[in-house]
Amino acid sequence: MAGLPMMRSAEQTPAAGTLSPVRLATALRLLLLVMALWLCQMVAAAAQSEGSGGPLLDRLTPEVVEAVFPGITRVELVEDDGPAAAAAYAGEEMAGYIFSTLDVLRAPGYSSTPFDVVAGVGLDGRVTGAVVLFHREPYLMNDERRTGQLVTFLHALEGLESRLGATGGLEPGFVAGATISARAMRNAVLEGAGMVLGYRTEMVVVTEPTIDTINFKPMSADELTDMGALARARITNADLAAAMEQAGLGDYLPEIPTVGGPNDLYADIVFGYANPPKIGRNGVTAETFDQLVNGTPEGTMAIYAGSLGGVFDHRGARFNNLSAGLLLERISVEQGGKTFRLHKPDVIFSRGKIADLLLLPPDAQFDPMAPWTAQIYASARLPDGSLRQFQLADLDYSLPPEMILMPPPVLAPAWAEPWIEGWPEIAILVVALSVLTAILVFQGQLTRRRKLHLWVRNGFLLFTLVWIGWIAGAQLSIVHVINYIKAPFSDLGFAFYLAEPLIVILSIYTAVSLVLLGRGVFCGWLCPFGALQELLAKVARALKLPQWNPSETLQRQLWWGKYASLALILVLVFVAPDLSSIAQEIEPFKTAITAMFARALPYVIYAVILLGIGLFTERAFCRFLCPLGATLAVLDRLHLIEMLKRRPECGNPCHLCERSCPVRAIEKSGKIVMAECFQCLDCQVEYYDDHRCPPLSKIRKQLEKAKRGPAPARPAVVARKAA
Amino acid sequence: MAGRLNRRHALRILGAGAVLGLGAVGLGTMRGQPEPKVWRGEVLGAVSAMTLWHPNPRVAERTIGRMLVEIDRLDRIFSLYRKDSELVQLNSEGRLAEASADLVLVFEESLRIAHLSNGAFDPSIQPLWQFKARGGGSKEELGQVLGLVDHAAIDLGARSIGFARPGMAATLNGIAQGHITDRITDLLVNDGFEQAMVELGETRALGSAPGGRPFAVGLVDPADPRAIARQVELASAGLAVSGGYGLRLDAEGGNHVIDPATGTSPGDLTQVAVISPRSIWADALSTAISVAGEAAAPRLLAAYPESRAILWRADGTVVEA
Repeated sequence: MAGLPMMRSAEQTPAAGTLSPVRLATALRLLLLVMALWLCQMVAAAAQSEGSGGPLLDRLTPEVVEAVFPGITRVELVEDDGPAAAAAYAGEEMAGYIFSTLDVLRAPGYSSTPFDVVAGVGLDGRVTGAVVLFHREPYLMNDERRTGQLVTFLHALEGLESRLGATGGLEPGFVAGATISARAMRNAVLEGAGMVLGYRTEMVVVTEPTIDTINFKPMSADELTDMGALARARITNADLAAAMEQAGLGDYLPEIPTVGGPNDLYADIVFGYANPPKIGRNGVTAETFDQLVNGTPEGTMAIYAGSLGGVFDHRGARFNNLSAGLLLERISVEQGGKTFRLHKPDVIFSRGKIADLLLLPPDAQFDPMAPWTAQIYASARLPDGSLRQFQLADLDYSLPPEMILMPPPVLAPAWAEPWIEGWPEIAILVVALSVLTAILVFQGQLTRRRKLHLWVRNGFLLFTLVWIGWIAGAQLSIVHVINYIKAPFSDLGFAFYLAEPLIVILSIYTAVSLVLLGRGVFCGWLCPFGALQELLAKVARALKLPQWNPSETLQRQLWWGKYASLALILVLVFVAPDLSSIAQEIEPFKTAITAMFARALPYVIYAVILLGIGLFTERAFCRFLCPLGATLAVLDRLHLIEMLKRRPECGNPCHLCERSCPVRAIEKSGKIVMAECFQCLDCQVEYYDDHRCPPLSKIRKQLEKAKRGPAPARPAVVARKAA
Repeated sequence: MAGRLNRRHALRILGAGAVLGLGAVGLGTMRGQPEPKVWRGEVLGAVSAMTLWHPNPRVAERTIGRMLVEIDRLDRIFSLYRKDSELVQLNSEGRLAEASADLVLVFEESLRIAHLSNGAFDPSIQPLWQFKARGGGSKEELGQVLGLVDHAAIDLGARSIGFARPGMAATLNGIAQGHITDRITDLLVNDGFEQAMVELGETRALGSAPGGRPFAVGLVDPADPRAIARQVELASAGLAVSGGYGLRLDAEGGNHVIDPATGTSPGDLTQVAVISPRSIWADALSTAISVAGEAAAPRLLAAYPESRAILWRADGTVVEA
């Protein structure tokens, strides 16, 4: 516990508190001191062994501090309402914070007892180190190898950004066998650091690129020059001679005489934008910088000009000269064709350092984010004793990105994640829906080709069943309809529904197609269970299983079945939500499609019975029981476009399509009941088939007759006559 | 002739039925017992996990994605570490005119158990918590802080929440996690999930583990947190454990279960586990019983259907209530 009092602020030290009444006898004082120290040690020792919270400073032994924040000489508890933390100082300079995950997060690891990891975070937002003080992680206790790995793992957090999800360091899997504990500790350090720092720095929220006037760290002129934060002119005597030569003053002497040979330094002048403390505060003295921050109007801009060496400085002497207009004659700043000259009242001078802040008022029309140039002028002494100014150097400057705070990248909202992550599935679905749209738009051309229609139809159904249904698991169901109905009354955000891309896309496509063409687009093409029934029915017919369909009157009654099941579900949803999930089992979708029959036997039997019925009565479930189908059928009344073509002869006298319709959606009158039509387009294939559609076939025969013409007929007659 | 045809038909029909059945069973076994999809992360500062069983792994993955959207929404309501969360706003302003239904519901449940337990569970304990976490203070200061802890001074409207006294603050630690756990479990049920383990700060089992057996959850021994004291079976129920073995807040043996009436930690029970159909109830009950003691347990449990508790006494004996 040596050095402990050094690390505490005075009022925190119990020893100091107990000792302050100085009137006690020396012996008593000594005794008390010993006791206080002893108590202090006890508390600290207890804190270590029990992992109790205890005051944070007691846990920050010099060893701990050295491990989590190297180079720190003093820590001091921060007295505010934020997450508990100790400010860490390197000398007089505050460098960051040290905190304990136990105080800040109380995050438990694998065991439910929260662990205590002490970590440091620098003002630059990066973790400086972490050590575990206490834990009850079962797979780490009494395991030296893993404990060693944990120490290494925590050490590797150094330099990581202080936010949950930051990348870098070692993977939690490094601590083999205690991955969960390691991950929890890592996350607690990163999240805790973010919280501790976030509460105390204003840097967190910028909405647009903003110059960083908050963060500070001590940096040398060389470091700043290297990162481009300072533009630097190191001018040797030779450079001076060259500049004078160029100005046509090569025959004269400079105003400020040179010292040494041609390679000796004549001037070493730096320029930079001073408002970021990393530049300004490091350039001028702290008091000078404070004058800029506290003594100038809000929005004042400042340029740092400093002379680091040589005999020539940027100040000159004549700025004190009222007759010379108090002008700093040796420097000017230029941006976009506008030149700024500086006068004595515009300058905050440093004492003891030739380093000044050149002030530009808020309305100076100077853009610190844009590049600018600084000019340095020197003078030559002409024979008549007068001075002639010439340009000594020209420095191009632009503020480096390190000095600009960028707004946090616009984080995609939570619902966007599935859209980004699921793009291959989305792409496949969009292509499929485009194909379907093309099928529907060009149905005339398609249905003229019976074979092609058969392949396209069966191919698409197979895709719907296997990909949409079994692979992607995107079977639209009555549950989705109910969720959408309930959405306005539930607290679930809109985002919750958006987070299911395939269902959202299918729902929108279904809604649009419902309004345009009717229910059949979804039921007949996009419903995986419907596809399964239809494909099975086709196999059944190929195997010549007997087919049965109800009479028109009976069918009309059976159609009500699906409306009844929809009504039952809707009523239950609002009356008895618990029972509604059972009612939703009317749909065998979950069993047959999403779960692919991997469910309890009763469900499988139910689904198989429905599919079995479908072998003899095509799509019996869709037509007579499906609540989702009923929903769409009710809304089908609204559809706008009739694409299925009919002839006057349809229904009277011809009944071909009526019999060809696999779901008997065509009435005896020849009218297609669109609410029952699955848009399979079989009737349209018949419609265009001039060998099967009677009116068309009649025309074809007449045409053929006309084409063959009377010519071949006559010889026949002649022949017969001849015979 | 007709008879032969019928027999052939009948055979075909039977055959088709058999093939269909076999096909379904075949597909089912092809899918087989689903591998669980597991998500791990943090919710409200607690290490959390969701384990979902679904025959189609893509469906489970996408569902997890959707649940995270909902968790994110709830986090924006209950987090004490987000400056913009509803709860933080309530604590700083003392009043919320338009609280979310979730916040109102959790306050309703909190106040219900607070009334039932005569304040043994008290959501307005936050000032005392902060006082303890700061390292305590003098008797007068403690008295002042205790004056701010009063669940009866929380005004709960249909949509609004407010504190009757300035300086009051609420914490929903635990009970909010219980709500999130329930909420996600309900959504999973609504999505047709039959098996899931939801551990979002509280533990809740949806259905049972693969094989039809209940999930086995180990409860640690309060005397030795490294050892599993007993296993409880959990099927379609929530579990919450409240114990004093965790964090010690002060030197007098106070721990993270604080009696709102006195500001001290009770010593009667060392650990309380409650199994209840809803996680929010389990959390409310376990905390309330921890503070109110063994004697209050039967009465409190009776108020919540199908709830039971396992109590660890200070002397090490374990009783069920």
